Amino acid sequence: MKRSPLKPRLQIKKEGKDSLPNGFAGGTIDIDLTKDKIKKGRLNVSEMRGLIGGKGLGAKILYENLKQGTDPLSPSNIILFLNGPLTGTSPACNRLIVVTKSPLTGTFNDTYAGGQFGSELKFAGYDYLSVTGKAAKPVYLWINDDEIEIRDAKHLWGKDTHETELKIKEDLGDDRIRVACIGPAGDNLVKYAHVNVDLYRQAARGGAGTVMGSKNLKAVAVKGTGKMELADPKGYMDAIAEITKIYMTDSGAQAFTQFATASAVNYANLHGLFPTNNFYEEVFADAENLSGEAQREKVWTRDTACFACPIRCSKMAEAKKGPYKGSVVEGIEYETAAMMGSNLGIGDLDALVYLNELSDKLGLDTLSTGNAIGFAIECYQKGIITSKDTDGLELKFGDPEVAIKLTKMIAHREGIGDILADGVKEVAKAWNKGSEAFAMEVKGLEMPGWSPRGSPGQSLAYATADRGGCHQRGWPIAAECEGLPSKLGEPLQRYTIEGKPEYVINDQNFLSATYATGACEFVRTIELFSTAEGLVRLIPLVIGWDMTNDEFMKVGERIWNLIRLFNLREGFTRKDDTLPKRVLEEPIPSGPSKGFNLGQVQFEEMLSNYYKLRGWDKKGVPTKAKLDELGLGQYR
Amino acid sequence: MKAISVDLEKCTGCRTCEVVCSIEHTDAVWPERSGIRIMESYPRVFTALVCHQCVDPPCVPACSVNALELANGIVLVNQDLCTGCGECVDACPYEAMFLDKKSNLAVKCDLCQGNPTCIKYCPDEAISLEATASNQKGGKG
Repeated sequence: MKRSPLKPRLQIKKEGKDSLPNGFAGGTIDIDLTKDKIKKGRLNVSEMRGLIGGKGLGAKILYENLKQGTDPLSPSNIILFLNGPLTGTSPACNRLIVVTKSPLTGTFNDTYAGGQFGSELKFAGYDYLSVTGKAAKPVYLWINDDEIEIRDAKHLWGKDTHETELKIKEDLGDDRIRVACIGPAGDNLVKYAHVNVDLYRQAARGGAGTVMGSKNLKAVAVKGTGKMELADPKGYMDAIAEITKIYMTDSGAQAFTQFATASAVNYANLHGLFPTNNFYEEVFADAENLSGEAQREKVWTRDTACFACPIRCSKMAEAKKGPYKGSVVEGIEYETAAMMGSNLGIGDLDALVYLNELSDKLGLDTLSTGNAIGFAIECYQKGIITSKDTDGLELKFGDPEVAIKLTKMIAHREGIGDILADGVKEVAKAWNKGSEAFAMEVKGLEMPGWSPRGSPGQSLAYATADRGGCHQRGWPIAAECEGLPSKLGEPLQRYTIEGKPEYVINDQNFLSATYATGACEFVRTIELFSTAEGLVRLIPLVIGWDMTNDEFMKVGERIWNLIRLFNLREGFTRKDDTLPKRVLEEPIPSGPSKGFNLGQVQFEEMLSNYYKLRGWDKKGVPTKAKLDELGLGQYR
Repeated sequence: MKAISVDLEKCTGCRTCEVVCSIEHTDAVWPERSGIRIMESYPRVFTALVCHQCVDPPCVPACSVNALELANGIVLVNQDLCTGCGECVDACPYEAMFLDKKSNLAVKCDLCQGNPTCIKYCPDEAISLEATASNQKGGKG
């Protein structure tokens, strides 16, 4: 067992003279836009340990306050902007967590952004902002330390995300204000509109931006000049010095800094997991063009970072030649390279810089947008839709101009864009003719850029993720592909179902607790943080809780079960923990996994094992015993 | 005398310097009390604001309550005397004197008694101590 170099010092500091807690801000904001009411409150920090905060606190608030069956686009929906008790510290603890009921899926939705906003909210004195109701006219919120205003946003409505943020900073006269806003896609209630944060980060998935649009809430602006107390400031400084040293010699983390998420392009392609042409193929001939190496050489101009993060995985990119010359974006992240690149048959890096910039400014989740466009192209090729439906636009893979046109049409709900804006699940229902078989979604959330067809583990992860088809709750791919010792038992075999439920459950619990703290999931590129150990070292120094690894994982399990109860209450059942026919029944046509398909029988067996290990019944409902064990008995 | 200098080619705008500077001086994460600030202009262009340690500092005479003391070549803010009037902020030609309006307190880099914290923690290794025209003999603020 590796001996940890950190020696946490538990000199718990007394609460400061301002009575601030450690880690947490201690303050809350509740706004009802219908009633035009702002209410400030205090967070009961002593009750937080079981859920930590962030994702956990968001789950509790939504479960307790949102009536079953609430229409996500009605004024009754609630949208929360939270941080975590670690948000505001190194390494990589800077997350804004946006929680709401998704208008795309109807499930619980939690979506994340790095940047500065979450930390700024902490310094302003708040652990969360809750918004319900609907403003009579477009507004934005201005949180200026303890002064909170609802301000007129009529002049911002319709503006793109960059114009909006820059105008707000100009109006308020301060460049160091942090802004979360929506673009035209959110204004137009595109179901996968994102929340743009600090210009270049996005809380992208599940339509959180759509909910803002439905409330006439164009933006939230925040300025925080206060402090975040630490339980053990000296111990924390020692720990960060140590962690930074560890990071500098961690080859995995260093590689991630060098090539960021784009480093996964070649990896995914090599292992036949790179979605191509609407997930029809698993390998892409032009993958090399989109790789981290190609991006570093051809388009990256600078490395940038989110607040207090040593990993610095963000990259500024600029198209330096061709028809898209001058286009600038922070990217191209792996997911965008996959979903708007290979998934659309596009290998033109400069075109992708433009497509990424366009989507970010219009306020569209690039994953869902790329997925929806890919679906439309396949339907067109199969004759399910024709040029009559597309106003004469010929849809084909490998054509950036088609992707660009459709992206704009979606954002503005024009022509076929108006249909695609509701998400592939709805579109497949409308167009029918067997298209459901290749509508690549789970529970209505479009699948991201890791194709699950050649990965039983990832198939399970997508089918059971809390917010729909998502890779950021469980990611067994590396362990599966490389036969890594899973830390839980035998090394995983690629194409079997053995060991996959254990691995996915462990990931889901671990990441839920991680997302509750306010840490970015990429903190686990530093090996120390690849298990609970890393964050458990920081928690006593920042928050003052002497937490064990087991307790940390239990928090994650608790959060996961609470969200399961929310989704069950909204009517989701075992039959929704599934995957489209293309994943379960269509043999993969080429590449390293040629001929493979998981099959319904194997999938159902794997899912049953997953439920059993989770302490859920055969229908996927947490048993009384499990809920009591987790202290969730009152929610049954 | 040298001053904190940031290599903007290396700076990624992470603001770890602001985090550690504020912890070093206040025991809390408090960017508003950091002696160094990373500013961002569009699109994602960073500059650093930090005291140049002028050999002839214009901030000192600007203070009407003598809250700024020049000690061993470093200008220090006397927290007990400072009224937060902001005259020193206006006087600084480098925008490197900051004002915490809530606390009515001027804030600046004090070089951490000769062992700057920001240099030790910057993940870009972008910070160093440099001699500049303003802080050398005969230099003006």
